[in-house]
Amino acid sequence: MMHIFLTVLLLGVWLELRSNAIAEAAAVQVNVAAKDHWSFQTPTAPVIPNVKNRAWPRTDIDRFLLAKLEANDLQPLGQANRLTLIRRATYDLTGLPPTPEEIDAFLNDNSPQAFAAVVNRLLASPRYGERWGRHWLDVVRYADTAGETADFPIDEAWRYRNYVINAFNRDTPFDQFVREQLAGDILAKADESLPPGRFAELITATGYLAISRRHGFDARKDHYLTIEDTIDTIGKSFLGLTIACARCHDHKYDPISAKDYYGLYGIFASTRYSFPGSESSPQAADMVPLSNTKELLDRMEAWNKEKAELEKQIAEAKKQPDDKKETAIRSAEKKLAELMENQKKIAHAYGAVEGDIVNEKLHKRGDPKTTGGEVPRKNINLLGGQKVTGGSGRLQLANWITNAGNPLTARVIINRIWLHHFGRGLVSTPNDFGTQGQAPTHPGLLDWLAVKFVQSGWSIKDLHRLIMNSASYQAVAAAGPGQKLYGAFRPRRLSAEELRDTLLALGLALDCSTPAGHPFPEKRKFTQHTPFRANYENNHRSVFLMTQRIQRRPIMALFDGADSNASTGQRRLSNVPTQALYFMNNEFMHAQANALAKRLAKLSPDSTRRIQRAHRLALGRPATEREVVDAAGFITAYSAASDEAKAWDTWCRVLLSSNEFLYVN
Amino acid sequence: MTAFRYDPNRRHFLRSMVAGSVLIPGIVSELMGKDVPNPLAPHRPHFAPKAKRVIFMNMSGGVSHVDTFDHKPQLYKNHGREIEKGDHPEIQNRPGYEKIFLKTPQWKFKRYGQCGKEVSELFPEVAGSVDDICFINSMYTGHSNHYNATLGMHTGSFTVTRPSIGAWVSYGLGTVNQNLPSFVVIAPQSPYAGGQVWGSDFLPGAHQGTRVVPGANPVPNITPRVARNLQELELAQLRKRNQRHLASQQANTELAARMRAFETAFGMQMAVPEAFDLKQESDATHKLYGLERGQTNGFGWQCLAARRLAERGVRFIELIHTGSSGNWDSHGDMMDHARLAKQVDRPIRGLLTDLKLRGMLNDTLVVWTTEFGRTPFNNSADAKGREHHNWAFTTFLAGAGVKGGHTHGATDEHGMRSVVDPVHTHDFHATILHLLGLDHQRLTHFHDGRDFRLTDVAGNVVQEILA
Repeated sequence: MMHIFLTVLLLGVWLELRSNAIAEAAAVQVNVAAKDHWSFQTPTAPVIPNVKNRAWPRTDIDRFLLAKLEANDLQPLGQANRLTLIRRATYDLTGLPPTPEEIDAFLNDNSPQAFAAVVNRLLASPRYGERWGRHWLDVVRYADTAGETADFPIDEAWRYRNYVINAFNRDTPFDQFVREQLAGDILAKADESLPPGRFAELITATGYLAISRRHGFDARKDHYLTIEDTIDTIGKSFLGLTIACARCHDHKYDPISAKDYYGLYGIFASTRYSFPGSESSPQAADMVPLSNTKELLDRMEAWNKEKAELEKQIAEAKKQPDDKKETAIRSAEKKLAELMENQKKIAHAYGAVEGDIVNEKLHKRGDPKTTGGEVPRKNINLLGGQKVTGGSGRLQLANWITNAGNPLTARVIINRIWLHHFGRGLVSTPNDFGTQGQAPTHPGLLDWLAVKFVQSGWSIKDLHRLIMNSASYQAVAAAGPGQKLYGAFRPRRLSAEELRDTLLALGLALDCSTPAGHPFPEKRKFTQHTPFRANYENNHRSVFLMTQRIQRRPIMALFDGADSNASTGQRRLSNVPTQALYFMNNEFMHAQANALAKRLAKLSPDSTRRIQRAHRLALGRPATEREVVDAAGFITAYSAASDEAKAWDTWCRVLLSSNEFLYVN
Repeated sequence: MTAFRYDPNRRHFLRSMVAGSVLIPGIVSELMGKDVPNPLAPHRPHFAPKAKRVIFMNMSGGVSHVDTFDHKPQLYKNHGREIEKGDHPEIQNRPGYEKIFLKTPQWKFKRYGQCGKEVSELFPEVAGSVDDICFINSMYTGHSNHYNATLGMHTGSFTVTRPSIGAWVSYGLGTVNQNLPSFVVIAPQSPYAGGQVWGSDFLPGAHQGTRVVPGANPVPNITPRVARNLQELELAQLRKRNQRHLASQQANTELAARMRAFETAFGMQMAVPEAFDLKQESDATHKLYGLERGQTNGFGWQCLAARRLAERGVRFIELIHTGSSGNWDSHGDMMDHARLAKQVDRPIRGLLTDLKLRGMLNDTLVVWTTEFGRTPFNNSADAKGREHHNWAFTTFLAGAGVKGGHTHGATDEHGMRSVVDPVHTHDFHATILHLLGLDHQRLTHFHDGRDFRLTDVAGNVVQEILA
């Protein structure tokens, strides 16, 4: 069927409404006042508060939290028991339950450093990066497809996913992590002595930019929306700022102007993103080679020449009379296919490199067809407004973002780490530290952490240690509104990934190897009528499941997985009957419960032993006597109505459907 | 702390309710705890509503307005005349489209009903209901690509993902029957833009549409894998375990809510299949929808299932015909519209008639739409098909709160542009929300530093069509 070239957005119609002069004047005033906003001031290390209760605090974090409690005449919460602690820590750091052996080792370790040792062990596990990498992938709206009309699959996106996981596992200093993602290609090319592996890694890091969402039928045409998505994600992920609001007009609430936006825009317009393919040109292009040997570069150049030549031949052949045309085209196309095949054998990343350097003209009201004056590439004024001095400016931008004087970057990442430990950030709007975001509950603590974090070399793992060794993290969990004050662990439901991974692990089916890409089809004939759609099932950890942009995986949709179209700072967890139906009737759920029952059956014919083991595996604690009696009673009753094997299957399902299983305390 | 205590009567009550015949609305607040906010609990609208629920029929691919409900005598007369290209988004810089010519419709129009609405031969059945229908002949939309226009018609955004209109309605009003989802999408195939069409995006996940694929197992995970008596044993054991656990916990309302979710789910296992079980419908009703007994597909099935869902209190029901392929996108040959119209004509009439007979058309809003229209021209006078056309198209509303036998707005003499009282998709959305008692400017959700709404920063209620 014929298909059509993309079009203009009729933005003008609705934007007309925004041109109210009075409103704009008011916005400017807000912006001036907004410069005094707390998060725009560079943090200075505050004095650690004095507290009355000297016995409870274990770290300075505790002193900050306790001071607020005391000011409100509240007592701190007591220490959680060891079983609770190891389950909490293991899920927090790895997204998996502790094994009975790990639990026993902790219970039997009487040293005062026992818990610190557990934390260190978990931080050293490769499972750690899979869990915390996933948090970052939420923030950067990772997907394996491009999101344009046919949702083209991206063969090489997985490299960036694995890069993120590795970066967390290796505790790449966060400032370096930022620089690599924004300008890895520039860093790689600046240093000829890099070992090949490191070169490849730096190139791969720029997947951060390439995975920006693509739009339209001809994704190249709508690239300005992709750049908006890049800027939006940079603003939210690193700075906690909603910069993309300034695409159409100066930000209404924060001191960010449309000029700031187009100053950044030029940086990304001067960057060449890998192209995933789209309906109008299905061939992926501009993938970035993961090697920089001279031999390879020469070969690449030769290929590119040959490719251009063949494409020219095909175009010319098409103009010839029909009888000659066919063979000429076919022969050229065959050569082209061979060439592409050869090229494919070279490892590439879906990433970004320096492109043609340009400044962007301001798009009036966000419309790229109505442009104003050229805006030089620059930093946003809020962070200094410096001009780009060479190249696209990405490396400079990365340096501005990670400059120790930048008031936002450290606070924003610290808040993310805090959020995933306690269930609530010190700032409860993790992607918005602007004037519309929430103020921190403990501003002193946030600043103290920020200063310490930067001084200690931006180590995320150190931050985990600092937090987890506090009395506050180790206190009994607190739900309800008081939790805000306590800064204590909030009981939380397992995420979609934790649920699936745990079910697989308990059924002894979890494959903990690190996979590469997905079995995407070779032929790229996707259209908006028949977009790419697949649901490759496997037993790898959920972070490795193929994620699409226009289609959600059922378990992720049901259990509130991250949005792959926009940055997710914190998932909003729902509690709906369709989730209960999953536990009751879902095929995978039944299969995993049955697998656990088989595992127990192999262990022992003795019911008590099975029941005990199951409790320790699924809930991280032994069964009480009453529970053993109860379970045995259930098995007997159910066996009478059905049969014994099914009774065990069912009992396992009950265990795996229970609140205690699904919540971490 | 409010501890959740299991009340045996409640389950008994629930069960008898489900086993009993049927119409559940109204009873449900009973099922909801006072202690936990239920995102789907019924809310009061902003003002007195005319419509309590919506059936939203989405004709995928772009229905030609000039061949269906927008009669343009001059277009027949001026067939083959070359016209100005203007800045039509579909043909700018498109090779082969250097010149364009008007193309005549292939169907005749006749006047119907007391209102005398002109309808083409493609919709002889719908034509019989024109006195109950309010046509909007002056629609226009922001994009001429299927994906973007479909997204726009559903979310108000033509580019990035936003919550669907069904999710907004669920968020604004909740739902009266907790045994069924608040927002159901019956879609035999996936539409353009995929699941984004019914996504809840930044709204709570409870508001996302539940997609139903016509057939034996319409809703995922709804069919029990074990016998009823065994499942009762299982759930009793689960409840016991959860209760004991709850007693050991600090106040945590989520845990009690989750226990209740299992009770509701138990009920849903019966309520959902029951809702889709058309066996209970009479032969006469089947006939009304053009449906064979035992048939579980086709638009007639979708429409009758929609009526049953509406009866059972589902807030927003979308029917997609057909999906992202094999649809109304008749580039190749407009005659394909005949095949498609035949699939939906009788069922739409059947639905309108059935709702009216049951007194449900008074508080049910029926919406019929498509993502855009089709060009009144093509690149040669004898081209068979028509291209995408976002400058003008036709939609209609029927039922609660809208004028029957009314046509709002008009296009120019050839159906090129909406010139009299143009209605943008944002206006269309604002009007639908208005009929539900919701002010589109007040139905907002704070996200990422600002309030978002379905109509972005635009939208005007089309007052002229309100009854």
